Amino acid sequence: MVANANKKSKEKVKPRGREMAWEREIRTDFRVREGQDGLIKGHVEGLVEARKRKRLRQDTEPFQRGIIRHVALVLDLSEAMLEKDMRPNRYLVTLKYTQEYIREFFEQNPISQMLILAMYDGICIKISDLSGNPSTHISALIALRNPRNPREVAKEPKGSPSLQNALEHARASLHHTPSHGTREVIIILGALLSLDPGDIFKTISACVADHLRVAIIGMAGRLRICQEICAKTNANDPSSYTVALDQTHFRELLLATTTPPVIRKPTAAAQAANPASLLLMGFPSRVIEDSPTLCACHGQLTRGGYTCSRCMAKVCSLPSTCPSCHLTLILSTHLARSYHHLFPLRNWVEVSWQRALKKGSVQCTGCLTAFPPVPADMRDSKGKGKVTNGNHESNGVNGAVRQEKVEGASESSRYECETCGEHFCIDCDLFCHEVVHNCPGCQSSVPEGDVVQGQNGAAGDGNRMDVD
Amino acid sequence: MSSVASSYKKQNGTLSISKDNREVSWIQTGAAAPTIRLLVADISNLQQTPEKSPKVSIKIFTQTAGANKPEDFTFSLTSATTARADQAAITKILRQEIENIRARKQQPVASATVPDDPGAPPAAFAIAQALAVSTGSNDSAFTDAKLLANSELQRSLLQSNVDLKQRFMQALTDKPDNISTHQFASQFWVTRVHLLREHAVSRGQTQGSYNVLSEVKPKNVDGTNRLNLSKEQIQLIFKQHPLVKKVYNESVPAMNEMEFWSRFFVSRLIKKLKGEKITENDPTDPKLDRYLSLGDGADVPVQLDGAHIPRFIDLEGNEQNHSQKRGNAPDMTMQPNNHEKVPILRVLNSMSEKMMADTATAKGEVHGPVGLDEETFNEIRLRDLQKDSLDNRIMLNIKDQKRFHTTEGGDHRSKEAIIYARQNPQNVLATISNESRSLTRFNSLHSGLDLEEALGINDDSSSEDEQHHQKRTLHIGSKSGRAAATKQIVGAIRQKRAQTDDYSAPPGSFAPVPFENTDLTIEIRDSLALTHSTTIEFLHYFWSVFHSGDPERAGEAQNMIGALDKSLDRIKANAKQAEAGRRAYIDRLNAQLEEHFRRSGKRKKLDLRQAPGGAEAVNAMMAPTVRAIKEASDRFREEYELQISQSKAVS
Repeated sequence: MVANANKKSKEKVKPRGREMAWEREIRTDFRVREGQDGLIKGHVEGLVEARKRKRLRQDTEPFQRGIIRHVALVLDLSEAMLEKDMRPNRYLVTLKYTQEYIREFFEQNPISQMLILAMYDGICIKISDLSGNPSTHISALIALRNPRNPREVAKEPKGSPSLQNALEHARASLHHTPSHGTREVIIILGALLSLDPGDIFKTISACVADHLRVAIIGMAGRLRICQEICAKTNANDPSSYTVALDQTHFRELLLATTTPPVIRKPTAAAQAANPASLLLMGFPSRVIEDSPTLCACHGQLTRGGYTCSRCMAKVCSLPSTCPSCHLTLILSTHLARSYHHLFPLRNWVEVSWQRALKKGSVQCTGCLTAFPPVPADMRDSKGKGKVTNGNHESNGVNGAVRQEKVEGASESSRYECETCGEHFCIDCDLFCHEVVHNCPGCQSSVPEGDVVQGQNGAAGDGNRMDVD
Repeated sequence: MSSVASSYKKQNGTLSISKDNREVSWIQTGAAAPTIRLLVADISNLQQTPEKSPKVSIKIFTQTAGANKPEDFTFSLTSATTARADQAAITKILRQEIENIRARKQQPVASATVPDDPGAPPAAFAIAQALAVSTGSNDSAFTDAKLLANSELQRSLLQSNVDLKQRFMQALTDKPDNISTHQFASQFWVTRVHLLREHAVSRGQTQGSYNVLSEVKPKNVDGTNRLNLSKEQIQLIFKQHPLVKKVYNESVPAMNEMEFWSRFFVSRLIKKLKGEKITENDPTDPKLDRYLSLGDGADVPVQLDGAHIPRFIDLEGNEQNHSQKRGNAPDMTMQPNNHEKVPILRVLNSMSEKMMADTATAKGEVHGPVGLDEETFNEIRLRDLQKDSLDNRIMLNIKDQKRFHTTEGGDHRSKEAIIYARQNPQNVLATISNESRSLTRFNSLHSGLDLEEALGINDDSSSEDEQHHQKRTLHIGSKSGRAAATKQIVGAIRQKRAQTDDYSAPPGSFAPVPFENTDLTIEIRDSLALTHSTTIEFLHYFWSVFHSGDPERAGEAQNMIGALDKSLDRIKANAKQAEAGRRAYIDRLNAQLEEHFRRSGKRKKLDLRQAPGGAEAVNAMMAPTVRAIKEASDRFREEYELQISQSKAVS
């Protein structure tokens, strides 16, 4: 009886919709409904659109984020990675996704740096050095299984992982990074244990003292110690500890860490200890040469490069630190590319038939694809649309909801940018939010003089920070 | 400790340097305590008699912190045979130590003080550097000073990193003579202290302890049982199972070590220690089975020290209020004395306790009045019921971003846009239609524009013709003009292809070209690569000195400029050597051709494709390096002259 009572109370506490994938009932709403015209086309299209848009629904609140990141990516190379619950096994899946991740990471964070470590046989080994060049990391990962030196053997997972050794190693490797950048550790943990030589809590507090932020992606189950590590190093917010349900979820979780972490408001003491500092940066010009010349950074021959704006040394790739005068060298486009994390493009809202009728939009502003025309019966009841279920949509536009409406998709296949009021198709919606991070409607509209649309003036209200 | 015979003020005695090289002392012969003791740190100057003079003596000038007048002491070296060598030895040690002390003093100064002379480089750099170097940490083991002082660690890092070692050795041999090895090495490591730290940590890693008996398994290879047991594993077994140690100690001299382990791993004893059930079929071992009855008496687990469990969560204390005593019996695995049936549970528990004992936190006083300190309290608080912590993310208040695309106030249109705005559309359209009509009118057969005609191509014109009429060479359609255009286009295509042919580098960056693709010989190539890397090392040294803004280090900067000039000479020497090699090759080839011509009467063309690259190739390859050196020395000279003129103006 006691056990039963327990079970019941647990069920009560658990909020609905938060159950794990394996607890969920088999989806029954998978059936396709017919539209009024007896066709299922409308509903299927809606489903497709809803699935596409699901990817976009994220927090678009602009927070201060650390766009100069220093990340230690820690892979698990312990025996647990030989599990075959991911195909062909966890190790190979991780290697594959990590390569993809590295490319995406540097695409999104061009002025960031990364190093790769691995937990292997109880200790932590280094796979690649801290650098901003994705190809060195990727080739180091490939070399794990196909060593360049034929005498070496391919590395296969072995032994147990040690979170403590990994954290200590990452801490030492990131110790010298400047204070204007973040120090992050992203751990992919396949095992359900950590075999540590000492007291991991000491390491955790040392990490907190060093401003390390740890994110852990588990592959097997939640571990208390991981939660502890993530919460302690992220200002008591354990949300950076995630556990992958399956292969695709694992990939999503990994790619989610390409978004830079938010900056927490520092305490007064921390602010005094680490005041805002001036960071010298050089924007070198690209030169192309007829014959290959030696670059200062690697001593390799390249057919071109960038000339340091201070000491005239040639470096072969950006961003980097000038090997001769230690100036940070980047391209202005790198800065611009990192900016969309700070100024995210707001989500576009679904457009009801009524709103579409009012705006009279016939084609997508982005790609000029024709929209489906407003149905005749809607056009008849012009202006006095009957609100069938009083559902106020997020954009404040009352919509007469049609039967085919699918959760998440717009009934009129139009999506509206609330800033400029233009309508777009689903594909432009995706493209603008995932790739260009700008709204073509807002960009092409004529600026209205110098009118500042910000709600509050330069002073701000203390919590908010003014960005110019 | 080195000591030499010497005299001070005509009295014989011994001059010696203490073991830690901190102190110089002179003791009179027969005296108990030294008469003179000088701290090396106080030494301000050192003089010695010239090599040719018959008298050998050392003069030491000191300036103690308190005293305002420098003192000096003269010691004559009295040894009849080795006076000269003694002098050299003493001065060498002293000089090195003084340099060390100065170098140590300079380190913090270089990054912390902002120079106040106006000509110095911007202070912002010094600040940025200081920030980058020292972001506060209280780890005593990882402080920069500790790492820099640890020469054993540095050696081990050089051993493990071949590239770094090569760079270090080469730079060390090429360094200018007036910079000491110690100074150079410390400068070398100051810029690489992060590598040292990383190496220190990765070297210091240890594996956690594990249940070693369950890990070691005899393998069956070709019918015989093989056992792989490392030294560490044996130590771990002894540590985890004191009983095994006892057995080992008592039986090994009598028994072969190999035999002991092979018997141990099939014995009933190991089954017992692992917590497995012993069956009748298990082989007996008269020697080892004696210890079976001893039980775990020898290795009663080191209980987690009770002193470290706060009373608050002391389960022992709950015994009095034990609900299960009244009715439901505890689970059989939880009852005492019942462990003979399931020994593995008990064994695993005791194993875990032993392993945890090594890692248990040594907390401070937990037996205070309340029984727990703040940290413990935080640990056992029921966090599930806690509210979420405050959202302290920093929200950005974004103003209309479109504003950034326009210029502040005024006319934000481009110049061209302004010009276009002034045009009258009707006039413009009329002009365009007029022009297009006039173009097509010439050639009414074809619709559209005849480009050849428009350019005025004249195939009959020859280049000799054009040379006579200088002004016609500018004509677009001329032969030479077209040839030049073709050449430029083809050249651009070729270059573009070379740039983008290699897909190994991401777009926008430059793929490395293998050294084999240059036509320089291997020796020249290697020598150039080494020269290049040391040059960069020197440049790095120079700029860090230059940007430190420390007037005291001006001499160092000058030294580095000297070293860079030498680098230039080295590049030139390489170029010369390469050119000589190329000449020799061409001469040899010419001789061969001549020979061929004499024998066959046919002339072959000189094929220079295989010839090694000469000075030109070297200079092309090193162009950016040379440019960087030039920039450094130019900047130095500029600054130097500025300072000189300023100091002149002041005085």
